[in-house]
Amino acid sequence: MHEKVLLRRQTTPALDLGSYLASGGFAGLKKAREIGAAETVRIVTESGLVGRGGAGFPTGRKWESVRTATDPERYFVLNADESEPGTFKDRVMIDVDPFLVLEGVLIGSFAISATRAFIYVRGEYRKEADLLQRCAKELEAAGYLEGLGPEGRALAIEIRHGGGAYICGEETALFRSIEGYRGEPMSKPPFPTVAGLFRKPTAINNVETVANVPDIVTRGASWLRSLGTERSPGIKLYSVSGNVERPGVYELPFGTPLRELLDLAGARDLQAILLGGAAGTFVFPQDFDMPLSYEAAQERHATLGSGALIAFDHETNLWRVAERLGSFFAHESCGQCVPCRVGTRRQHEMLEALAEGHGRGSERDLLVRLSQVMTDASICGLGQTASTAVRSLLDAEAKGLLAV
Amino acid sequence: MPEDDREIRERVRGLIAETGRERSQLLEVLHKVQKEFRHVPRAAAEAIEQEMLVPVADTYGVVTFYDLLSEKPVGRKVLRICEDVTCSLHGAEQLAAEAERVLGPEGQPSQGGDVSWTRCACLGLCDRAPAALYDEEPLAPLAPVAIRKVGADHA
Repeated sequence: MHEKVLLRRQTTPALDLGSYLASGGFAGLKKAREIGAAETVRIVTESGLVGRGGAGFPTGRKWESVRTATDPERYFVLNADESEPGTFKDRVMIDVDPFLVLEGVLIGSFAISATRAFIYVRGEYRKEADLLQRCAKELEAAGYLEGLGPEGRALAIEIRHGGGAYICGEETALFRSIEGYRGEPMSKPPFPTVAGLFRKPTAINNVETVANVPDIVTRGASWLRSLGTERSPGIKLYSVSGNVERPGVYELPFGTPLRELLDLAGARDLQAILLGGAAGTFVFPQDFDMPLSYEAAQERHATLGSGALIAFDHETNLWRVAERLGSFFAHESCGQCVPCRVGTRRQHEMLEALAEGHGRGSERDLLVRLSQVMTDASICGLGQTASTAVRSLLDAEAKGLLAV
Repeated sequence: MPEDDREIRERVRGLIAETGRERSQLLEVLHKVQKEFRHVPRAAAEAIEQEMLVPVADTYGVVTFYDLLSEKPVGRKVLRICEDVTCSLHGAEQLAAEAERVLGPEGQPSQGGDVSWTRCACLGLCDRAPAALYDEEPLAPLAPVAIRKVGADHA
């Protein structure tokens, strides 16, 4: 049985600084201050930690690039805009251990010598935003922000509230939103580490990613590498929902077989799962023995994404599920680029026809062609992945895997 | 409740003073305006133009982009019913149908302007599906019969 790390305070959440300290909190920040910024970043890089929001970029490399930037003004941003359908692990993470998340933010800010830290919480998570605000105030009052900024200055933390837009989880859109604009993504490069928030070097990390950091710094890079697989070191949070007996957030080392996670959640006799959220892929029982790791997912043309898993029984019409995904993307497209703005709408119409069972027969071919256009020509990840699940469903249908 | 434009502008100037005048505070200011007036009235956008130097058209560009902000008045309380995959599996459509029956057409404040309801994207409450958000408070899982209570609270 895996000993919980990120969710170790799940049964008795530490909601004030005193109980967080009493249960071993802030050992990571203390050590980071002792060893200094460069060494802290080196440990994180060596641990092999990659972003848990879905994109999987190496955290240490991001930090090193901002740490060594020439511009003295630089920012740390916590991406708590969790909006991927089926994903709720960051909400639970904040609810059960807000100080662990904040300790990660403080270490990250210290490691890059951030002048300011921003915490961007999706507007629908008001309770979580208020909790983080209260905890940050407590830390400030207790002097924890002193000396974390450049030249020993205090770090300033600001909580920002999202406006209810999935696209703002995309990093450049999130920056625009903080800056007070419509959350429309920008073309990359330049990457955030070079020109991010307010066009300054910026390290932006997901909630789950930063929650890993205190333990990595305390226990060393080899500790994270002792968990998981060689190419996917560490642990992952999974949000499990749908036709299961025990929906919730599960923490497992990488490499754990998918079937084990399904058993934990009480899934029985499934038709399929959707793995990785709306931009993920359908996975069928023939692949339920796959290990949950970045490399194993990739081999099967699947993705772990944010770690969302939605389970479907044999009664579920998966084209109806695809229609819901299509509706989601059509609504959440920011409208800036044509392939995505128009493509997500046409895709939704065709999925509606297939779900209702009155397609004209041409939808399947058109969906494939449309998918190619959206993938090739959209500005950001939303349009590029809006048809991923649909493609995987078409493949499965061709193989005769659909129950209804 | 009908405030005149001068009062609105005065109040919004106060909100801006306590939040900050920089462009980067626009969303925070708009959240406060939305909470107080249940939409972003024209007079508020005008006050923002004067105080923050953001053109009215620009403000409405931002307002229409974000689901939690609106140009037209919503109810004093808003019930948001998630219609995404997991909640659909657990009966989101029945919830929406019941909301329509009890609270009236989607997006229109009920009598007296107290409650309005709307479908929305994934709320991140999939472990408690079917989920809804009643202003800032998660109602999850929400049973169709409970919607009558939401309506009754404000009848």
